[in-house]
Amino acid sequence: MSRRTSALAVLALLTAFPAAAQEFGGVPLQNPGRPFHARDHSILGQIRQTLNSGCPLSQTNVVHGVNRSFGGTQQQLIQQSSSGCRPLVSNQVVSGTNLALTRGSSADQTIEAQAPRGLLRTNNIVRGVNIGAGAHSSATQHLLGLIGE
Amino acid sequence: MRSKLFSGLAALALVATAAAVAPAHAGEVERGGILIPRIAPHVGPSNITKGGNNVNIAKGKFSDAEQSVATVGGQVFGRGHTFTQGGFNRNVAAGKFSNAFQEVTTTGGTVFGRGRAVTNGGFNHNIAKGFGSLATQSVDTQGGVALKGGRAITNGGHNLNLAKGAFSEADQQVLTIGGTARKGLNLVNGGNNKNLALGKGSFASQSVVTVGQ
Repeated sequence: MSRRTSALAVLALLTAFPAAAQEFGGVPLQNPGRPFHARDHSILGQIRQTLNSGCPLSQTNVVHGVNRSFGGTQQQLIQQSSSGCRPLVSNQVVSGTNLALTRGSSADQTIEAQAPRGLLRTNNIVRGVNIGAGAHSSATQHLLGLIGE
Repeated sequence: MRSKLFSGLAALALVATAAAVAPAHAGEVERGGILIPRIAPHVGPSNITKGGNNVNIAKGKFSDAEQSVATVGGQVFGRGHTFTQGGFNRNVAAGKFSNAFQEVTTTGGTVFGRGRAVTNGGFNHNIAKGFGSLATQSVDTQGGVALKGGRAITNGGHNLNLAKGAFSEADQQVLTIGGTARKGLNLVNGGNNKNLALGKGSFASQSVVTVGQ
């Protein structure tokens, strides 16, 4: 009798405590607790919001100019992204190289760019190299990188 | 005695079985980190603005190099972080009687909420190397504001202003406005600057302002 009872107890214990895998972890993907009409700031919510609006998930705007002058040159690059969309991730890189290489040369460079602000992440990088190498040379560079609201 | 013990264990096992009957929730697989009932913490937006690392060199005799760089970032509302880098600029007037003028303005994101705001407007070099040369550098960096227990780290220091050539002039102005962290961590560093007039008859002036509110 005692053996049967002990066997039953062991069986009951094995049944009561099965292997339990960890179900929690990682980045929160959605907020199931929020009501349907509330704005969902979780990642999935923002992705859904972007897709529903017809906007791309990510947008990258790159403007790069190289202006080499042996006499007199002028370069103007203007790029504005005004689609009215706000992507999930927005990247913008504005870079320019302006060189007045020879004697008496003149190099003028103007680069302007504007990109929208991303819902989740916005990266804006502007970098320029401006060199007046020749004697009596003139190198003028203007760079502008804007992030819209 | 044994029978009582095993019967008690059996009863305990039965209670545990009843508690474990509830099925696993597939929806909970998607939650992460610290489990908070009702509303899971959302991942806030972030903003990275890099307007520094510019190079402006007037190399030839009587040459003139003028550079103007402006980078304007966006604003971030809510729990996010913003990183603004407007420093590491190089302005060198290397040629005789050359003129190098550099102006760099970087406005990074502003976080209105509990987040992190890191701003760096320092590590700039302004060097007048040539005989009778003139190097003028102006660097303005405005970084983030992190409220309500956030962190704000601002660095506007580590600048070098050097008038090396004979009768040269080096003028450097660095302005860094960093974060505000109410009830949080606010670190500001505006030191470690060097202003040197090494050349004969040279003149070097440096103005470094670092504000951590």
